[in-house]
Amino acid sequence: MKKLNRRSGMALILALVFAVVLLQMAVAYSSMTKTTKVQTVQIDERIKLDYLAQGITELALLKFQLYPGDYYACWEAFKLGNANYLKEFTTGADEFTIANFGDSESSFNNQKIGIQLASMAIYTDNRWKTEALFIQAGAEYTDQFGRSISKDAVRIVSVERVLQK
Amino acid sequence: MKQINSRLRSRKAMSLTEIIMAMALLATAFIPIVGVMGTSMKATDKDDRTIKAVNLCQEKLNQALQFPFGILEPGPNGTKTYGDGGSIQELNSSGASSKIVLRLGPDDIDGFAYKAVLTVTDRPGTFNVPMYDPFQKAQNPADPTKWGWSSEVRPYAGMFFQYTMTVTWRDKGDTKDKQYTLSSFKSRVRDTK
Repeated sequence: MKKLNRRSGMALILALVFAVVLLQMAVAYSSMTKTTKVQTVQIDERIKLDYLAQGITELALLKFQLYPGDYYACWEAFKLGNANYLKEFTTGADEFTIANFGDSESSFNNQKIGIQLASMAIYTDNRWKTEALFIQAGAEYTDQFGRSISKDAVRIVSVERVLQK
Repeated sequence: MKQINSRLRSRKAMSLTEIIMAMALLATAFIPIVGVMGTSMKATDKDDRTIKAVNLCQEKLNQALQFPFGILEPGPNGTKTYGDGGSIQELNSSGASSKIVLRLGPDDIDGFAYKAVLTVTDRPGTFNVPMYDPFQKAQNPADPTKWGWSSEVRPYAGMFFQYTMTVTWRDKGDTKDKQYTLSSFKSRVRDTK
């Protein structure tokens, strides 16, 4: 008889334990869904940053094509140990910095984006006697959680020095 | 014996009550779980539509960026919008080595309606160019500070355009449109390898 008494209410206790476990699962699942959504938004925004960074490389290439002689002189000065002129032509030039770009807003994020040219260098391959212009640009913004999200874009263009008469 | 039998009977009755209570508790615990699953399914559906919009936006902007510079022009006011009407606007890259067709305006993907609009804007500006003097450079080839540098400001206009592709759609039960926008730039560069 004592045994029966001790077992009274066991089903209720078990049900309570199961209920607590199930509720915990629901809470965990809910938080997982929230995290996934944040990650999805971040992926979307990186696409945005990539397009903008690629766009700035277009402007850098245009400047190079319009003023190739001056760029090469800046590059030569850099090789001789003076980086000031190259910086003035490339990363330090105002036209290659766009702060607070807001034209690519979406319903999920309307944070302003900063775009900046990061590097513009000449790569030489002595073996094949070829030269390439390496352009790197970056875009970044601060998300709603205060984290910095950034993306770099690289463009490599084959170049040829031709003496114009 | 009689006493024991009656006690046992009363225990059985308790077990039944317990089981009913347990079932009721479990059923109550399942309600929020089912609720979360339903919300999650709706969220997945919304995400699916968002991803489709992002893909569509990317696809259309890529096509637009493949057009040779100047075909999609910003017009005399400096900004022009393509595909903003109620019907599909088809643009052809005539003159390009491979013909590209860009369809803008209302679109339908798996039964969901989207609208793609392209805005082309001229972004005039100035280039800051450090210019050297070739004669001074020839006289002092090893010292860059003696190359006669001057900081020149050269304006550019009609050479650098901003392309902004906006895809709008509306989720089921929503009263407001959602939008996804991608922007990039294209400049009047000569063909590059």
